[in-house]
Parts: sequence; C-alpha cells; structure tokens
Amino acid sequence: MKLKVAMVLRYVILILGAVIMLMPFLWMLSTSLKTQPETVKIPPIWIPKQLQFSNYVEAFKQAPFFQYFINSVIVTSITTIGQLFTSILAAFAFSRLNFYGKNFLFVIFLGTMMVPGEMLIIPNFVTLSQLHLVNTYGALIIPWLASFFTVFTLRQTFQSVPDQIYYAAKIDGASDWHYLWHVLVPISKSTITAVTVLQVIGSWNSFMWPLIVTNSENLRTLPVGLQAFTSDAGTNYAWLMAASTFVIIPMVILYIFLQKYIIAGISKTGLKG
Amino acid sequence: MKKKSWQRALLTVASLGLALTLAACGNKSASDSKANSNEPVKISFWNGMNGPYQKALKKIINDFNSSQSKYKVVSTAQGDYTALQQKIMAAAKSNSLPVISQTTYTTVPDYSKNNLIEPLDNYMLKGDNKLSSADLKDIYPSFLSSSKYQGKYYSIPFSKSVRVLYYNQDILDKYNLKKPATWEDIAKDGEVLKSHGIYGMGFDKSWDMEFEGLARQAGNPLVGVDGKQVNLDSADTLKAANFIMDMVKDGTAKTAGEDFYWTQAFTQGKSAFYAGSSAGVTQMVAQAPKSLHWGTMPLPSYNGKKATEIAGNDIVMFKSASAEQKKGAWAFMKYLMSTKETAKWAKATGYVPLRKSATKTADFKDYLKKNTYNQAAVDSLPNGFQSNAFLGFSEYRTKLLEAVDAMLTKNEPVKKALTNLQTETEKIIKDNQQ
Amino acid sequence: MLNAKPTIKSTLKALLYLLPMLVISITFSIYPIIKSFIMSFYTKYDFFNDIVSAYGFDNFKFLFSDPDFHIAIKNTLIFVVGVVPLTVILSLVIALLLNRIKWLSGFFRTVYFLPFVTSTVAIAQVWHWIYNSDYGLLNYFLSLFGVSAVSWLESPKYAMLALIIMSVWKNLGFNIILFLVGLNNINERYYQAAEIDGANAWHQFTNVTIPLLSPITFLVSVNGVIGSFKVFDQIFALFNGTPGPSKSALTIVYYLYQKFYTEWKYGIAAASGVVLFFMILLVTVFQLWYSKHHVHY
Repeated sequence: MKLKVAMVLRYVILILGAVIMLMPFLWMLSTSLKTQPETVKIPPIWIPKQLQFSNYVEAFKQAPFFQYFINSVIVTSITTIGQLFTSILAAFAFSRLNFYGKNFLFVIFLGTMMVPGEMLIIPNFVTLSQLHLVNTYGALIIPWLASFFTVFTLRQTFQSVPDQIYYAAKIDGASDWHYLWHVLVPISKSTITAVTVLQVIGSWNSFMWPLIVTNSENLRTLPVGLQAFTSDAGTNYAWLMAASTFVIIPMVILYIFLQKYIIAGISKTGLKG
Repeated sequence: MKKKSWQRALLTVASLGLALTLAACGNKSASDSKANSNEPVKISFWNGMNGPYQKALKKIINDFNSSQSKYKVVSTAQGDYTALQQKIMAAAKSNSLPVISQTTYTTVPDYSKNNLIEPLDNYMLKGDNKLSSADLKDIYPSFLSSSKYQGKYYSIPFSKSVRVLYYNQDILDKYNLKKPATWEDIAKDGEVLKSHGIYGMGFDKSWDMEFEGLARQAGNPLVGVDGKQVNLDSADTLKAANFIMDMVKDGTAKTAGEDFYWTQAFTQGKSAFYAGSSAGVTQMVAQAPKSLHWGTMPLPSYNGKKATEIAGNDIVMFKSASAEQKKGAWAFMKYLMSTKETAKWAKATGYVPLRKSATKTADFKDYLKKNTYNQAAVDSLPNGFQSNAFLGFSEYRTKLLEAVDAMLTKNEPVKKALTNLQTETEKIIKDNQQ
Repeated sequence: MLNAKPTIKSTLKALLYLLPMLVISITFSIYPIIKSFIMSFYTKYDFFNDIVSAYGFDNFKFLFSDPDFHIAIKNTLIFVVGVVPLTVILSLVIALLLNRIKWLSGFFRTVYFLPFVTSTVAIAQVWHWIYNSDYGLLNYFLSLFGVSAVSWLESPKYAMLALIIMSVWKNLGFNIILFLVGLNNINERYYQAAEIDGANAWHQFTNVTIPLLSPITFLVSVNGVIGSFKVFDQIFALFNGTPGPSKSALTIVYYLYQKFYTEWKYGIAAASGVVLFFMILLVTVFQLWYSKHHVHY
C-alpha cells in the first residue's frame, strides 16, 4: 500500500512539473492561432474560437522565411560537421598524445569559457572584415568551428576507452590516424551524437551573431527573422508566435528522434557514478 | 605506416586551409562597390524597418531606382533600432559602413565627433541639386532644426511620428465627459472616472516624452541646444513631472509597465485617454474590437501652450562613401523628401509627412478622410518639437529613462530623482566635452 | 606511448592534430580576449581608428566607484546563488523520480528537456506574457490560492525572481539528463549492501546516492556557475531591452553591453569583462579545490 502511494505521488509531481514545462509551448501554439484582439483578451483564451491558420501564411509573407530556413540548415550543418572534425582531432591529442605545454594549453582553453561572448563580438567582427568575410556564409560558420566544450566532452570519452584497445591496434600495425577514425570514433558514437545535437541546438538558435555579421537578407537565419514582427508601436503577437513555432519545431523533432543517443552519449563521457 | 598518418594529418590541415580561403574568396563581390561605367552606382542603405514598413520602403526604393538609371539604392533591414546601432558601430570599426543609414538624430553628435558622417550642407544648400528656399520653408521647421547640429545639417528626417491623444468615445459618452482642452481637464476627468475603476490617462512604459512636452510648455526644454543648459531640476520642470506623477500616484493615470505600450489596455477600456505615438494607430486599428468607438486628437494644452514631441528616425550619410555615391545618396534623400514621396510614405506607414505641401495634396486629403485616425498627427505637426541632441545624448537618455523608472517602480520622490538626473547629466555633458 | 615523456616529435605530431582547432580558437577567442584585456587599460582611446593616447587603471577605478557596477555585481551574485542551487536540487529530485518509474518515463524526459532546445529570443516573449500582472497565467494560478496579483516584471522586488524562474525552467532538462546518467551508473550492489546493513531509504540516499553522484553534481554546478555569471540574453529578451525595473536585473554582462554599445565607453566595458573573468575564475578554482576534497571519483 505504502509503495502504491509513493508511486502515485511520483506521478503527480512529475505530471505537475511536466505541465509547467509545457505551458509556455502550449500558449505559444494557442496564440499563434488567434486573432489580434483575442491575443490580449482577459481572461485568457486557450482555444481560439476559430483557428487562424492564416496567421502562419501572413507571418511567412512578412519576411523570406523559406530562405532563412535554408540558411539555418546550411549554417547549422556545416558548423556542426566542421566543429566535430576539429574537436575530434584536438580531443585525440589531449587524450592520447603527450606533448609539451599540454596542461598549459588545456587551462588556457578552460579559461576562454569564462569570458562573456558579448565582449568578443566587435573584435571578431573586425577580424572577419579584415579577412573579407563579412556578409558571407563564412562569417556565420568559421568562428564557431572550434568549441572547447566539445573537445572537453570528447576527451573524457576517449580517455575512458581502455588502453589495451589502443595497444592492440598498434600491434596490428594501425597508425594513430587509423586508430582514431576506425576504432575510437565508432566506439564513441553515442557521445559524438550527443555533442552533435547540443551543437546543432546552439547553432540553430544563435541570434546576435548572424544579425551582426550579415548585411543582406538572403544570408539571414531563422531567429533573426523573428525581428520582422516588431515595430515602433507594438508587436503582432499572433504572427510572432506563429513564426516562433516554426523556429522551434525542427529542434523539437530532432531531439525526439535522437534523445536516446544523447542519454547514452552522456553516460559514456567517463563521468562514472 | 606511421608516415602515412602524418601525411593524412597534413592533408587535413591543408584542406581546412583551402576551405577557409575558398570561403574568403567566395563573396568578394559583396564588398565591391566599384562598378563598371555603364552600371548604376550602388548606394547601400541600412534601416531598421520591419514587416509592412519594410515593404512600403522597398516600394519607394524601387520607384526611385526605375525613375533614373545612374544610381541604384540597395536597402537592407538590420533588425530593430538597437541592432542597427550595433551594426553601425561594428561597420565603422571595420571600415565597412554603408553609404546611408537610418538612425536617430540624437546619435549625430557622437557620429560627427568620430568623423563618421558627412555634413549635408554641400548637397542640401549648395550645388545643382540643392533644396530650394521654397522646399526648406515647406518642410516642418522642427524636422529641419533637429537635422542641424552645430550649425550644419547632418541628417534628413525620415520616419517620424508625433505624440497624440487617443480617446475612448464610449467612456466619454457614458460619463458625460468632453474631449479635453487642457491637461488639467484630463486630471479632472480622471477624478470622475476613478470611482468607476477607470483611469483617466494611460501612458506608455515611460512618460518621458509627455514630460518633456509639459516642461517645454511650462518654460524650457529639458536640455538646451548643444547641451548648453540643463533644466532638469528647474521649478518648471519639477512642476511638469509632478503633474504627471501626481496623477499616477493618485490612481487617475497609469503607465503600461511590462506591456510597454498602453495600446492594449486602451482597447480594453481601462482608460479614457492615452498619450501615445501616432505610429501606433496601425496597431490600435488591428487590436481594437470593432465595437469600440475611439478617436485621436492633438495633445491638449498646458500652461496655455501646445507642444508635442516628435519621435522617429533620420537618415545620415557616411563619410566613407565615394563622391559619386554621395551624390546619388543625396539624390535619393531629396527624392524621399519630395512632396509626392513623403505623402506616399505617410499613407503606407502611418508616419507623418515631412512637408506641409504633402498634407495639402488631393490624394493625401482623400486618405485622411478615409483614415480619420491619422488626422490628429498632421494637426499636431505645427506644434511639434524634438529634444536637443548633444554629445553623450544616448547616455543621458538612458539616465532619463532610469529616473522615470525609479519614480514609478521604486517610488523615488520626483525632486530627488530629477536633482540626481541634473547632476548626472551635467557630468555627462562635461565628460564628453573633454 | 601513453605515459611516455613528451618529446619534440610527439609535440609536433600533437600540434598537427590540434592545428585546425588552434587556428580557429586563437583567431576568434584567444586573440580577442587578450585584446579586451589590454583595452581595459586604455583610458584615452579612439576606438574607430585604434589610436591609444593614454593607459592606466582609471577604468577599474571608475568601476569601483560606480554605484551601477556595484548593483551589477550584487545582482549577478544573487542570480548565481538563486539559479545554481535551485537547478541542482530540482533536477536531482526530478531525475530521482524519473529513475523510479517505468511507464511514461521516456515521455517525461522529452517534456522536461524541451525548454533546452528552444531559442531564448522566441520563448522569452511567452514568459513575458505569463508574468503579466493583469492577464498573465502565473498570477491567474496564484489567485486560485488566494494570492493577490504580483507585478513580476515591474516591481524591483520580484523581477529577479521572475528571471531566475525562467532561467531554471530553461536549463533544467539538460541537468536532469546528466543526473539520470549518473544514477544509471550507480552499481546496484551498493544499494544491496546498504540494505543488508539495514539502511532505510533515506540513509541509502544520503550514504550511497549523494556521494556517488558527487562528480555529476560537481559538473552541473560548475557549468551552472559559469553560465549564470554570464547571463545576458534572458534579461535582454524578458525585459524588452532594459535591465529590469529600477535596475533590478542589471548584471555584469548587461552593464558591459550597455557601456559598450550604448555609451561607447569601450575601456570601461572591457574592464568590467576582466572583473567578471576573475570572479568566475575565483569561484571555479574554489569549486575545483572543494571537489578535490569532497568529490568521490
């Protein structure tokens, strides 16, 4: 009996929490289907009288959202792949090779994580303009090709792979390069998926940077497009919420499909309980 | 075996380098402004216009581009005004400024100190494409005066709106009230409405614009021309601030707070009046239920005088552009200010026309007949004023908004808040002159 | 090879592996960081032409005497102290509950993670509405329990709380997953042994779960501390580009942003970034030192 009560209590708490977690999303969805006067009605309306699907059509007319979507996909995928590549190489060096200045370098990189990104926007903009990269896909991608968080996570996983496997591969005559790509990377597949998803989320949602480094509209990404709904004297909430839904949904789908890898991936980062 | 791994590593690095170079070369054309002799000169134009405003602007630009073949204006939206300012700063730092950009005229002192913008006198007052004296007389004087800094024109007015009074006719009818002639009337009406749970007056999140209006009517601008005189703690100014804060404390007026604009509360009948931007008419029409009867009128008088603050943005020309581009940019600026185009712009967006003549065209009169809500803004224009810009203005404005915020959210006494602001502002002006 | 001493040759080899990452991070994070550090000593500086005419400690002196900066430090610390423990406790509790159920556990995991995948810019608008004092959802719920309307975003007393709640909501999911992983890795045998020793559920929790989870707890809190010290996006989005009523949500990064982008005081902005950096460093080093003594690996 006591066990049953405990079980019911667990579900009650979890459901309550889930409702809180979901509430903002439900509201966003509901608002995106309202008429303008309905969005500001008191008491709030959860289900609009007539679902205004036309809000999505109208919202899409306010800015070239299809182009933004394509840009987001391009930028996010190249950034993610490129960053994985640089990170896997660096993580291998940090986990399997000994070299002068290893600890020093590691500490320096840890330190970079403590600096607020807002401080780096302008100097990085200047660097990019000296490289003639402003207003190109390059500006959206290149500065993000290195992530110490990813290196750090992968290093942990690589280190947790038993040394014997490394020696066995060596005896078989495999080079380090071969060992890395044909042994280490496949073993660490789930961690790699996990960091990939985290990276995709971050890249997809980034806002300030794409706005600063692009001048022409055909290079803008989705979150930047949300600006199309603000004006001198107010915001069209229904349209804004429709567009926001469109920005968020791809990430939700991605997460739902890959979530089991994320959990498996994090368990392999060598954070033994 | 070992050797092979080294080669691959090298290859990887090389290919990455190649990718970088490719990316670098990929879009050279974007920064290339030098065109062939046959091609029109490209004039880049940054702005903070979004949604329907952006569409209206694009249309005017297309018209300009097809009206002649020498220049081609290419406009890009750069997010909201905050983002636009940030972009200009970044571009100035890396020498990649556009030819012209929208900006608030209050940034002109800072831009001109840093030698970023071009005075327009050579185009506007001299040369073969100058504005005639009839033109200069036709443009509302408050627009021209705010375009001037230290005796030179640095900007042209563009997207301008004025503060107007929105009134709820249903409430007025129900409680037998008349449209107010003075601010005192509003305060009195507020007393009547208070007992019915309705506010007399609604303000946006901050009432600084109405405050500056009252202060001017009472005697002085908050800060004099070029920051020469700071009147923030003078008796007249204190009286103006107290007038507003007394209503707020008394519960006869309310600020929009987290909603930012009072529009929403107004449509819900929470107040009889609302002092808001004339550009807000579009939102008001969209949000107000069909059953609500409302209208707009110029702000009532105070101390026997009328005044209404003009808000909005100007367009500036950057020094970094080529002579040819500057010439073209000026041609475009002049085009924007022409009677026909400014009327068109006003009709499409709800911003006010820049010229008196534009309000007299048959077309525009017809438009006002159909859109009676926009009449009040045009009627207010002769009494319009703009705050005086000076070096450090944006810093001062941050402090002004903070002071208003402290009075509203921290209950800071009016006198204390404004005396502090006076000291801070004097310091800002002094520091910036060094 | 693994435990071998570094040689010139191994260093060169490692360098090749590190090169792509090094090139990017030196260009886009280490170089600008060094530049900002140096900039914090510029006292007379023509930003656009990069001409420095005087160096000194004036920027730091200014910060230490600026009441706004004191507010920013205070608010940042309140935010960190509010967010980090709350996130750790809540995510641990939810992870424990999720670990004990089978039915629907996958569904709950998804739901709790959702906020983490959303863009702050988009979702802050929704929170803005939830917090509205007149027609917001939160006050509506509170009114069901007889609590009178709270002005969440307009009262200096509650604005920070509103910010903390939204931030916890956003980051809870990721930490729950970290804890779930940690819980899965605890060997059943520890619990069995504890049971034989006659430990009740609470004792099992305090003597087995808590100590064995300490590495995860450490990770979650270090992550949380670094992230919270740098809070900016949420404030900017939630308070419509203001630092909250009566500066109640003015944090160090917000201060930096304001000085840099609206007041054009580059040296002071850089100096505030340097101060923030050392604050984070200090706390992280303390956490590391603490973990050496108390975390059970």
